Amino acid sequence: MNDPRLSKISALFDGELETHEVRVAIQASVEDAERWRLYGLIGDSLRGEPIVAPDLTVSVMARISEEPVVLAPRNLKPLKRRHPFLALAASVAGVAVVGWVALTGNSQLSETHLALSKKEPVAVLPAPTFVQAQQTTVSGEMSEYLLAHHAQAGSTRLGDSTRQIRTVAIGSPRP
Amino acid sequence: MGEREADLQLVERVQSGDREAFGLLVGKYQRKLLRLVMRLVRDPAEAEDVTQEAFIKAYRALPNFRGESAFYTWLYRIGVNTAKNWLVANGRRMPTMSEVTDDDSEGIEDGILLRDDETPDRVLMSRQIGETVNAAMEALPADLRTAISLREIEGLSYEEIAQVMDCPIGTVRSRIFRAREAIAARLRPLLDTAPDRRW
Amino acid sequence: MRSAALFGLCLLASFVSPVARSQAISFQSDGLQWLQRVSVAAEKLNYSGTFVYRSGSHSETSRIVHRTSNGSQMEKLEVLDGSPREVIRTNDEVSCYLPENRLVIVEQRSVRRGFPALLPASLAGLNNHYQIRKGSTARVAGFNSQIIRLEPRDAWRYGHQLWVDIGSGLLLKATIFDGQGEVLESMAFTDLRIGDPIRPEALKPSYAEVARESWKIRQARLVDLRDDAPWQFRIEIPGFHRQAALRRSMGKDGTDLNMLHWVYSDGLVAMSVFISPLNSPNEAGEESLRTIGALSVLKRVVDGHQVVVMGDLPPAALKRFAEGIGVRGK
Repeated sequence: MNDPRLSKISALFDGELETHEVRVAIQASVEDAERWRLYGLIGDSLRGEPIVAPDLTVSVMARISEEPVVLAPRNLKPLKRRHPFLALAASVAGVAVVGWVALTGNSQLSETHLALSKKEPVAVLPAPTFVQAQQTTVSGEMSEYLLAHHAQAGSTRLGDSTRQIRTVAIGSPRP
Repeated sequence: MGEREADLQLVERVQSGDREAFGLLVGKYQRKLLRLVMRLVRDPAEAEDVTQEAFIKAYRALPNFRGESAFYTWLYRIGVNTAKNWLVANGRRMPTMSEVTDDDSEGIEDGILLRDDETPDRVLMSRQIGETVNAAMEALPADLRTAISLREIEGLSYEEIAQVMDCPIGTVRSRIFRAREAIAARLRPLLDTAPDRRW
Repeated sequence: MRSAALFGLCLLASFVSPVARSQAISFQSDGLQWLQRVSVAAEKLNYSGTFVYRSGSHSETSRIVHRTSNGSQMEKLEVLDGSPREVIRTNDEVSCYLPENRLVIVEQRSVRRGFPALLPASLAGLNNHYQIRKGSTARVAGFNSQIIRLEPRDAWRYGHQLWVDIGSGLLLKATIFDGQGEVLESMAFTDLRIGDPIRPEALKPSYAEVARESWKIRQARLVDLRDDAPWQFRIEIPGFHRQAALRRSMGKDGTDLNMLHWVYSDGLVAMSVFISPLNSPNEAGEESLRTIGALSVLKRVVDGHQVVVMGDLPPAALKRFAEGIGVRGK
């Protein structure tokens, strides 16, 4: 049985290990996160503290392991320099897009798009800088826009089902 | 070797590149930090988010932590600042308190911490955990029960417990470990059968 | 770099036949395969559950029931707290019941979902604009889920984190976050049943009868738009491709097809542009830039028309896009 090793986890939890034992104990504890968590639950329960249902460890560690690159839009280099391939894409946009649209089998749309792309060159600009926007709740008129947006855009996005209730978004609608 | 030194060991481990060791610190202090945050951010679900953010901030700031204070003291300050910033950013009033003290139990209701999206199953689970732990304690031999009570409820160090129980420190450590394992053995089946409602 | 190679493949793929295009898909990262599962699961499965939307200080609990039978889909969503609202979807027709406004809005979805559910080319294209990573696993609503994180590669879009049920591929939880990692909005199931047969009563609209009797019913009329004229969109958001172009009715003038509606998408999020004439001189139109959770809504007046742009994009992105909206020749 791993008793000596496991008992180190218990001692580490209480901060009662000798220095030379700590490294092994951390190793064992990290590998046995469930045990560590159970020890915490037991302590809380004994102290009559509220047993907090969620274990934040998983979500915190998920975020830490996926530690995002902090995107400060101001600091971003213009798109062209960052992604030379996209600059290439812009210049062949017409052909590439036609190929992509053809896959949908929606020939009407591809005609329209062909017409557009032949006439109008489009500019790919550097990333926009930060803009302050105000949070708002939703009016009756906005509900129609929102439903239209979600209904027509829905099939192009993931996870749309639950989004539909955002038709009137969050907050109560004003007439 | 005390709690403070043990935490420092964990911190140093993280600082040298072992991210997983941070998970141990999270596991150890998340409930305490959450209870602290809840005194400022009342809504349990929001408090969870703020607590999570505080841990992320602590992780990012960890290279600058030199051990001048105890880890939890440092973490506690980050928690308070994160919660205050959150209140300001969300246009909330600060709760009227002259000082946020270290007394965790102040202001929190006893019993089950309910979230606004708490389902009956979750509430039941919380109660069952409490009952299971109580039943396990009842079933423990007296010396194990005493040892873990002195540690978890009275907060005594191993050395102090050794004096109270008139036994070697090694015995204290062993008794607490065995008590925990006995209780954990009863808890595991309960937590493993958390509802999976796929039919 | 792997993503560059992928992009190169995609570009190459777009010049060749669909068969070769599907070969490009087999080079997708794990993350993309998970996204593909997600896009299929919501349509193919019966499920019912309760989910919570959070944004800033707001939170809202709703119930969803979804049934698939013989290729046909029905879905009902209702808000449990907050003001009562209901959305019923039968295949491509969506009805939204707003009791507080005594209003029903009905829409037909005109962009058919591609089958397979998400266009392979646009899925592969996601890699160009998002760094897609597989994270750890986590329990959500009693299910084991795989975390997938999409970090935006530029400031034109937000990041997304998805929790996908390992067994069924259903999306259990999702967050949208900005460039600083701040979560703008989250959706999470708190309880969920997958695979149960769904009773027809569970899909019945609560307000159908009273709505028929005394409410306003706005049924949108939609036709495909063949020519954008006179409108031009001079600024392009990288990765956002045109999905639909419609002429439609909206609002008080229930039946006039006087609004234009374009839909763009980068495969993950969508953006709508609405343009309608202002009934001058009384209507001044509105200029504003607001956010509702992760959704940004921009309004501009351009050449006597009200322009509305909305989508789960940063406000700055909509603002920049809108700067390029104009009338040809002006």
